[in-house]
Amino acid sequence: MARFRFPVLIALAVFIVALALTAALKDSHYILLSLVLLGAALFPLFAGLERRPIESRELVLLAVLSAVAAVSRIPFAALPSVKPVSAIVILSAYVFGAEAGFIIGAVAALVSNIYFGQGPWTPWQMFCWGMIGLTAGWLRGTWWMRKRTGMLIFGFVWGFLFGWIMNIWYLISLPDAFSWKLVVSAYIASFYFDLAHAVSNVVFLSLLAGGWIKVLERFRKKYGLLQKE
Amino acid sequence: MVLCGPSGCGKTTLLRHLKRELTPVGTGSGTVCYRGLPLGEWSPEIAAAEIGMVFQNPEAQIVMDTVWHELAFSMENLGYPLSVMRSRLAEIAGLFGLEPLLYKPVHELSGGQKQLLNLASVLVLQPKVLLLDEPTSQLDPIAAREFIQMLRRLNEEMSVTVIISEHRLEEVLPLADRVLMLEDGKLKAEGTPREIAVKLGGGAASPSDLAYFPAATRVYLGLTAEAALEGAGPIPLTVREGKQWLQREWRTDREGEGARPSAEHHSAAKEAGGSQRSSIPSDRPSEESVLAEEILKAREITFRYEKEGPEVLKKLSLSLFRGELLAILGGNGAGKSTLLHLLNGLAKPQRGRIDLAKGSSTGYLAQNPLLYFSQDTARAELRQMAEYGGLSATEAQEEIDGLLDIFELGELLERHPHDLSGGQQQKLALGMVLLLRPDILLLDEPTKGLDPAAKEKLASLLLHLRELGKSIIVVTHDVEFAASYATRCALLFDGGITAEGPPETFFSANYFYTTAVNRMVRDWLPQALTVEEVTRQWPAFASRS
Amino acid sequence: MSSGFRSMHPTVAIVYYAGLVLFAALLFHPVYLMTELIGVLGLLLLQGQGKTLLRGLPFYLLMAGSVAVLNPFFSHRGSNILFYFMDQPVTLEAILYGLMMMLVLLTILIVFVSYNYTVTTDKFMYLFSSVAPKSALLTLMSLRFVPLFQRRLRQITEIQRTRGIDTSKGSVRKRMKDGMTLLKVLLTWSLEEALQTADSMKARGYGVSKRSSYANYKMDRQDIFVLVMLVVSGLIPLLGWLQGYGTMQIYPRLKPLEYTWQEAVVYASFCLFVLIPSGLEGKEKWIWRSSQRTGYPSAIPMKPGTRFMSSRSR
Repeated sequence: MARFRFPVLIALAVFIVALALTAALKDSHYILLSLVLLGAALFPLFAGLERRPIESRELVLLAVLSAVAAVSRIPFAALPSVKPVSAIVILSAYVFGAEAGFIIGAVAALVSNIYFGQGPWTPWQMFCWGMIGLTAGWLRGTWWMRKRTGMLIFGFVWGFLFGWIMNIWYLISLPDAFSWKLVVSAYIASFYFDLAHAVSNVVFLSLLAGGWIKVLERFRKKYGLLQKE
Repeated sequence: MVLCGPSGCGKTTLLRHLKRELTPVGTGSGTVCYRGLPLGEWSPEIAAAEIGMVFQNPEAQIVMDTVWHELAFSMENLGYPLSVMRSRLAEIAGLFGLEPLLYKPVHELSGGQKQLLNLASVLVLQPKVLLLDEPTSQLDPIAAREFIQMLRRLNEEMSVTVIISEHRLEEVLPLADRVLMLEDGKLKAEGTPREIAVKLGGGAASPSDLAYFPAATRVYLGLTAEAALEGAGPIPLTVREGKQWLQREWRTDREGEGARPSAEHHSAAKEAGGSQRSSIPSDRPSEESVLAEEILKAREITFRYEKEGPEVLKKLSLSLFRGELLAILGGNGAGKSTLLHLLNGLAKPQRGRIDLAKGSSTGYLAQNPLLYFSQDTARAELRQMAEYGGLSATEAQEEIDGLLDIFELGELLERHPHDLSGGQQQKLALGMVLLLRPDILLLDEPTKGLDPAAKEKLASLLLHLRELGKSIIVVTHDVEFAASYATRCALLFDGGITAEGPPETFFSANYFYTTAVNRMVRDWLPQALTVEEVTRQWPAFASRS
Repeated sequence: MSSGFRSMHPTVAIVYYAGLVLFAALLFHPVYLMTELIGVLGLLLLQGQGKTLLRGLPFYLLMAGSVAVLNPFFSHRGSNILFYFMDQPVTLEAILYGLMMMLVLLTILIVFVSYNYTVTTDKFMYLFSSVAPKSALLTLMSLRFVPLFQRRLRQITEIQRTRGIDTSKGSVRKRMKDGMTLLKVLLTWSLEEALQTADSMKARGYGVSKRSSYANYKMDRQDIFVLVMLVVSGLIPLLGWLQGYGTMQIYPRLKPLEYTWQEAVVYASFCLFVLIPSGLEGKEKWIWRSSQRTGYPSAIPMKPGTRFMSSRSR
């Protein structure tokens, strides 16, 4: 079974990509294509994780942070778009770097959806939170990210971006109605949700930043890990 | 082989050196050889599979989410083929009786089951050597006994070499072939349990060393003159051997006086025990102080966690008097922790009421001190607590200084709470609770995982607190601790208090649920619970009868 | 607990659900979509998941319904103008398209309800770990931590309340701050303990050699048979779709549906694909019922509510 795994997977991937492209070109039908693109975006990062040997400590660290992020979603389940997950992912990425940030975000989305129920939104959330982690990790060296305000602005912006990306999976089901007016109205409709997410990100970040960064730094030393950058 | 010694003496470090994957960072010298070859020269597969290790904390060792996955995890690591994994998993699940649990998520298991699972998932690799680092310190006595029985089976039936470090040796020591006693990173003594007993019993031993021995051995050492140790018969290790030995002793003592019918002997024994007690200056507070003011009273409280759930407590009534130390004993899941929650007001009973004496308050110390820490240094923890307790800055400083004195935490103030040792963490948490100035302290399993010396320290601490006028309720599995230090004991069973009384009467009425010492000497001294009591009372009793 | 389709090999289930999502996204045809929707609903009911479905239904309807409403107001393509709304033409085609998209969304959402019931976490992890073993291992470990951390968080909340850190009292700011302190306690504690987990992993040989993977699932003959059926009956509509069957053209102009024998073959094959699992469930139901009716040739009468019954209904 394992011997055939890669050929089979590659064949499947090619097949689905071809289907998605045909569907998109033939009927301007983008649902499938969007999923394929998401997969393509997630794939290289997960492949990176698959290929290199991982220390058990690193694995455990990533698992704990993802689980904490997933658990933090539960008490706020009643409030839509108030999710400490984003803040936790940003802080983890800030301390542990882009790849760790991506993995933590994506796995947190996957794991929390095992409790909240999987749906077509799962890959989108994995993508969004993964990207939050990735970008936070990339930008962690910049001077403004090192400033508290810079990080808060980053969180605020991602609050909106998150909502906007999540809107896409809804918008692509209306391919021919697609116009700037539709986009604007969809984004106006989701404005308050996105605002809530953005503001809650700022609040969570401002509350968490000092203490959490200290805790995470302490453990980075203690685990002796992920310091290469 | 059993390793013993006080906390921080290097047991864990030694065990980790025996396990290649976990060899601690630092400078070392010397080699560890396994089957004639230095450990480093074995292939990683063999080193991982043939030397298995189980750690202290049952929860933290589990990696996977379900039982079967956890069992398969170590085999997956070594890349075993599926058919091998299937048959080994089946075998181990059968041996450990894990079939009914196989598909359960691990968080539904009890602590004892978790630790057995940890052992099982090491055993699927069929190790030849098992290293165990205080595996039972977090378990209740029944689960611990089960665990040790399992080890014994492995050792006897599969001839697995077992190296175990332990604080609680009552059950392990009689099974041991060899005992190593460590102190400050050095080997202090080595030999069979009996040899060690002779060596240490021969005068040089401090009481804290003796504390590692089973009750029977301690009684024996307490009663036998030093000179007589050499060449004397085998030293008793178990209650049974101890009892047989006492039987012989008693006969030889009485030979000169002629036999007496056994019925008479019993009454004589009772009388003797009773009269001894009153004539001996006891380390327990005298009865009068116990009968003082009632400071806490629970009347017919009933509690369940969920509306449809079972009743955890059923019409439970309990009172606590000022200045006493009440030990509440009971099996796992009897509701002991729940009771403390209720008494502390963390939960409200559905029926019945809990009355505190006017102006008094309670302080609760949970089993796990880590729950209390939220700051970065011990000092910050104490400060925050003092502030919450409404103390002014100067008062707080005084109060904190006083506590640091009592708890010997002075140098550790700037450390991170998580970097302290278990015992220190507990003391810090207790200090934090005390900053709220409670009149009643509620302690949940305070002796869990402590070595004998630390236990003794804790006891003297509690005594000190009682002198300061605090009343204490301790919930515990630790019969020996309750017997030595409590002023009153109560048994919680099936949601209610089923027995209650001062330790002597409480335990002497029990057949099984009593100290090992008492089980050994009860035919002669039914009320003697501790080694000290026996050593005090036995000579007088033996000469009188 | 698991019977019929749910007890089959995870590969079978994943092929089925992947096929359903694929067809929902590809076959833009009201008859096909309705068939699929009804088929999945039937499967859900046979699996006894009616209640779960009802709980989520308002949300799904709202979500899918809004598409149907939004489309005609933003899309003005099509030639049959029905009326003008705020000076914008509303066309028949746009309305139909909106309704179709509603069906697509609703179908996908409901497919996931059934998916969540059939593909349990164990099965998902099995499939996941055969594709990406390390990521799956990470996810599994994370999954194991979630209930543990929930319990810990509860304990921490309870104890920290005794030192004034309480999310139910005080100003909003203080409450949020306290909430974050609680999470910090959880984080610190858990990371600390996780070091031991890492040691335990190492002690059990993690990283020593290439990992293999243990599986509880075995392909039996029925699994293979059903899998082949699914693949064959799924390939036919897929090939048909490439030939242009199974889609309805709405834009630029609504084309009436045509019926040819080729179309009939494609549709029949599609029906087979959708209904195989329901058939399995139904067969299971029927077997139990008939075995109850005829009973075992034993003298003990079967009473309702005995152990036998309860183990079946659970």
